[in-house]
Amino acid sequence: MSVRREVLDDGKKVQINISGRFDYKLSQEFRDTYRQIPGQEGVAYYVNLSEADYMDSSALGMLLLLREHAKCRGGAVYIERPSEQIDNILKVANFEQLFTINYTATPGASAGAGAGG
Amino acid sequence: MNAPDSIFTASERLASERGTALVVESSEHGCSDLEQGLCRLGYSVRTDADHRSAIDWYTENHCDIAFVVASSDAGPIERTISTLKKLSSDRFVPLVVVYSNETESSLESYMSAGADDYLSYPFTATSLQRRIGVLEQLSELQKLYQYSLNEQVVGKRIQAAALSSRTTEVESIQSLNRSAAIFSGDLMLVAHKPDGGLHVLLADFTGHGLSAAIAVLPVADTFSVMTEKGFEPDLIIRQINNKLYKLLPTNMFMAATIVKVDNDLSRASVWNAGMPDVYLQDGDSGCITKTFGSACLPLGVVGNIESNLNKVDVDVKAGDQFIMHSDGLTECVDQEGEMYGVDRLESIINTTSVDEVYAAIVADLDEFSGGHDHDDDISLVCIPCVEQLFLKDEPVCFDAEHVNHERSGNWRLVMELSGASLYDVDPVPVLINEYSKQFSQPVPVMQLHKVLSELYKNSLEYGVFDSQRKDKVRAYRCSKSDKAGMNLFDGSYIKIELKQVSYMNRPAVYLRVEDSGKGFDHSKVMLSLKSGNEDLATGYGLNMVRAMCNSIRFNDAGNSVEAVLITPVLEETADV
Repeated sequence: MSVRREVLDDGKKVQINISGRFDYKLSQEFRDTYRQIPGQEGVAYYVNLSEADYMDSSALGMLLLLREHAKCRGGAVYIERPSEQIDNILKVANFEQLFTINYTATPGASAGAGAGG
Repeated sequence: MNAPDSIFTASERLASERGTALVVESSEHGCSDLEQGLCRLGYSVRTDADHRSAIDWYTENHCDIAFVVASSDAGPIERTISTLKKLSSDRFVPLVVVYSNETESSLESYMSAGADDYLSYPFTATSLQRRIGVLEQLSELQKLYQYSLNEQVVGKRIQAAALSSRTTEVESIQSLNRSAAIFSGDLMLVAHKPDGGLHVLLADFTGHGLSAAIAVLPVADTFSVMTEKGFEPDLIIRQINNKLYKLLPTNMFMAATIVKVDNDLSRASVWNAGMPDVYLQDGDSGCITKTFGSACLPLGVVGNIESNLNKVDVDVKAGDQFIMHSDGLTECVDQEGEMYGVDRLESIINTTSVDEVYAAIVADLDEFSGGHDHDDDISLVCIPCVEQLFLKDEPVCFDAEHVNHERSGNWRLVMELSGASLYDVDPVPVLINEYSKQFSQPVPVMQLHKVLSELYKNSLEYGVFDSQRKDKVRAYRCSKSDKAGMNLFDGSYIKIELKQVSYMNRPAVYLRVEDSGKGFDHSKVMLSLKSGNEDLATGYGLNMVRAMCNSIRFNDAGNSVEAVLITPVLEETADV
């Protein structure tokens, strides 16, 4: 399991790639990926879950913290390509009410086209 | 310590500020550097050349650190290490192996036997001092950890005592709760409504630590108090959500589901906010006939969940069964790391009878996990639709002919509803809540709720919503337009009055319900009640009201009714 961050477009886009188990053990690392970006406004965060195979409720909590962080700074959070199992967890929690979930490889962070804010 | 003086080295007279050290060494040349070094550091040292006698001494005496010296001529020491560690399993006593070049190859097996640390011989005074410093820190951490564990155990007892007064034991409900840590993040509560119907809540907090354990208490309070006052689950869930939203940090929330079973066993409703599917198992076939998926965000995430709080109503029959579980059950893993899974759970339910399904799931889960530790709390609840779920109250049946209006209190509670509030507001829980707070005597809440509900419903349906308006009321229910509602109930009202009275020298509740309708011919109904032919009264719910009240009387027109309920005395009403 790991958390990797890619900063693009001069810091306007941040892609957070999670692989393996997305659970409470990643709390600190996940938080560091967005707290360490100094004072950026309007950042779009793309949480790429295509490599993650499990997610617990602490991970849902981490997404809520990121959402709050982004909202306070005029940014937005996108959840990218969750696997079927992870998508089930997101659906049970009805997180589509709080996040935009993209199921296909959107031109999000990597291509730099920006899926909106 | 009880050791004979002769065993101590010459430096034994030094103050033993650091406590007692045991040195087990059986080599021919001894390890006097170690004894002297420990004495200089402030230990009382007990040295034993014989392993058996060292173990005997250790069994009887207190020791703060132990050293076992390995030597090529003294034979294996692993058994001594493991025995000493076992003897001190209730507290942490660091055990250090002292090894030399000759015994280095066995170091791995010493550590596997349970040694906490190792020291290579020969050593300098500084390295011994540093090593002991580290072990003392470890010892302190262990003590703090033990203290924190003990605190949690006590906390758990307090939590269990607090929760036990906020939930009801219902024998026919089978439930399993296995927590991953001392505190469980899962919560199961049962409460009866005033009409005897049942609410069962199963909830799952993020995490299973102290924070979840504390947050559980206001949830339990809200659930039990509101259920007992007759509130519906959607209001209860909204209230719990608001509390948790204020209480919990952003990353914590509570998934919850409530199953409500009506006391006539014909209808039930399920609310699911972030929990796994709830199943309805058919009493005859044993198959899952309906699943109730999560239809709402978990509680405590957003401030207002009103807009998406969905309930699902379902017809049930005696013998059917609701099955609820937390995700810890289906996400439980076996030795190979495979998850138990929803398919396996559903397949067991579909192939097992209602009576046996709980035991079958638990047995299958045990077999699957093979005693493997679980990372998450596991809950399973089976609610069979049987009569035993409900509270059976014994109505007080006095055959009194008249009402004694001698007042023993000097206040009354009056609520008047008019206009659209007649449709939008349920005054019964509000009134009972207020009345219970004011009344000095215990209130027969269940009876009062039933009687007041029935009389209010009569006023609403036969008084205010007379036959000419019924179609319009139906239209209003569909449109929910405030304007339509205001016009519809123009000039209509229902007035409810509650007060404390004395009835046959006993404290009682007096209630009066008056409506703006034309009234009805109550004399025929009351006569039919007296003659034992209850058919006519059943339509108005009056047979039930009559059975519960000590007295009931209509005015001539029939648009105002008075009833009296004797308040049970304290000894008789421990459960009220």
